[in-house]
Amino acid sequence: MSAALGLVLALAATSHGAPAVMHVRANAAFTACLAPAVEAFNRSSPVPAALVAGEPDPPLDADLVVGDDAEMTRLLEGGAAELATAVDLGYLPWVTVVPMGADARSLSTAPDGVAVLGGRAGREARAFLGSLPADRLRVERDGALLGRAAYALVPRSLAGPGEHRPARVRPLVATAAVITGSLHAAEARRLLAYLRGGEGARLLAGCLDPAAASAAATHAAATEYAQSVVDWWLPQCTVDRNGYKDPQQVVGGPDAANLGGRDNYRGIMSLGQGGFVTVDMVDSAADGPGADIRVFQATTGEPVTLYASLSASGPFVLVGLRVPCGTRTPGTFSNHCDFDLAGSGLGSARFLKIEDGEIYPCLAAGTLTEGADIDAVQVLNPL
Amino acid sequence: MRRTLLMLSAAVWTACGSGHGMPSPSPSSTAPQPGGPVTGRYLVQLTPGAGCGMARGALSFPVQAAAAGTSPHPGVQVLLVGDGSRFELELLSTEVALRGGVGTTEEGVLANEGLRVWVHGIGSGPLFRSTDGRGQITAGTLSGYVALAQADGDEGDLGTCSASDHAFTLRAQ
Repeated sequence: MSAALGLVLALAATSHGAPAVMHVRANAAFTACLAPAVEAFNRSSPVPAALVAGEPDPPLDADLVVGDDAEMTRLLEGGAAELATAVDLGYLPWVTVVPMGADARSLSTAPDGVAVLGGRAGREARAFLGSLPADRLRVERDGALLGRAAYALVPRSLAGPGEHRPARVRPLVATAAVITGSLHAAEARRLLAYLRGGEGARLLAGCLDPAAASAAATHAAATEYAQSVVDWWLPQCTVDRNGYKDPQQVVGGPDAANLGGRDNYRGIMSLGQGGFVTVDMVDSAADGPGADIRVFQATTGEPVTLYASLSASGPFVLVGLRVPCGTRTPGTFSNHCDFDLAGSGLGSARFLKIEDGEIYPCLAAGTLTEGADIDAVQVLNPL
Repeated sequence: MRRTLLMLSAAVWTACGSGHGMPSPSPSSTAPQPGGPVTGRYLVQLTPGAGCGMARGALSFPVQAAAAGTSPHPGVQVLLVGDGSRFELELLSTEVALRGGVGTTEEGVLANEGLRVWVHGIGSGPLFRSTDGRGQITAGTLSGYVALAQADGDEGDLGTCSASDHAFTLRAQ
């Protein structure tokens, strides 16, 4: 419960003597960022917030949760958290921590191994270190222990003493949302407003970065989007359980929207467990400068795998495997992920196969939007 | 895709039956035949890819397979024996191959070898008839995420690896 751990616990009493506390649950990395702002909020709030470090899913007794995309997907899609209240508070980059002056290969020779964040928020970082022998890794969820590690791969807020080097791991996105049915929903919304503006935002700015520069949805010619569907497949389990199964929703520009309430969308095809849709772009994508193809995917950052071909019947070549598809797109409901044909062996591609990369068991899913939710596919570099 | 898989299977079959210009031997009664229905008890085996820093022994899971759906392509659902929702394979089936999602929940799944495993990947491979005539995959691959831990450990304690060359088999039992 020390401030260093980012744990702020404030209790107040109602007129009945029972504690009136709003519970805020955030992963260890975000707790470190939120603590000063929550502490400041509590000085003027009639219902103070108790900030607890822990994975936001399951939310337990939380009224408000703050987590990365990887932690928030099931909460937001399943309706446990209110999608309408979800806001991004900022981005938290990863850093490699090494002793001052250590050489570039020092992680592989770290005397006590390399500490790395546990839980869902740390999955991509652990995979980034996948080639290190497993006995060189120390998976740790405790922020304080991570902060004491001489060698570590951690979100910047958990980095201890030493040299901090930028790491090529996707920054965590601090997404906050009010839990559905919260007894303190109004207070939770007030805290959200505080964190997004004024003093709260100023306090967070010392820890979280503003949104990364992200290309807005381009006003591309309609011909740069998928023109038709040539093949698709959803597992029968997905057909039986998902609510958004029309492959034609992938054709044309991004038009997905949440229509309010739980599981109420338009404009998406949910791919379920490992389903796919193959589209004909007609105007082929070329391997040009930067990214060549963009996939629009709704809600958080469910991963997407992309294959490309010159022919509708294949062969299809892997372009990107399980790429997190959560880059925010200003002005568009859907997020997106970009793919580069470079390295695929293809100089151009007309047919694109978009496959679910989340690959979560269908029978355990419990949402109508299981799997990556595809809104649109766009050629960024036309042939 | 179906045409591609048929061609691949034919190529594999051809390669098995004729080598380097030598006369093709007569088909042996023990030579595996392509295809076969995928139904009943199986054993899934996963072996982490060569570039992964984790232990590379095979991890095996008893499963039950059944046909699942026909449109727009036939499918096969393969579930962990005992608790199917913890480890589920949803596979597109052609006459000669399977391909599809292999996934676990947040709790992972306990392998026969005593390790806990988390998987989110696409498994695929050609189908050949087992001795009882059912289809099985004896040389497949899994592309995606694999993490290991001790039975009561945290996800990735014993390594995490995203790769396209994990080995995957589905053998009839």
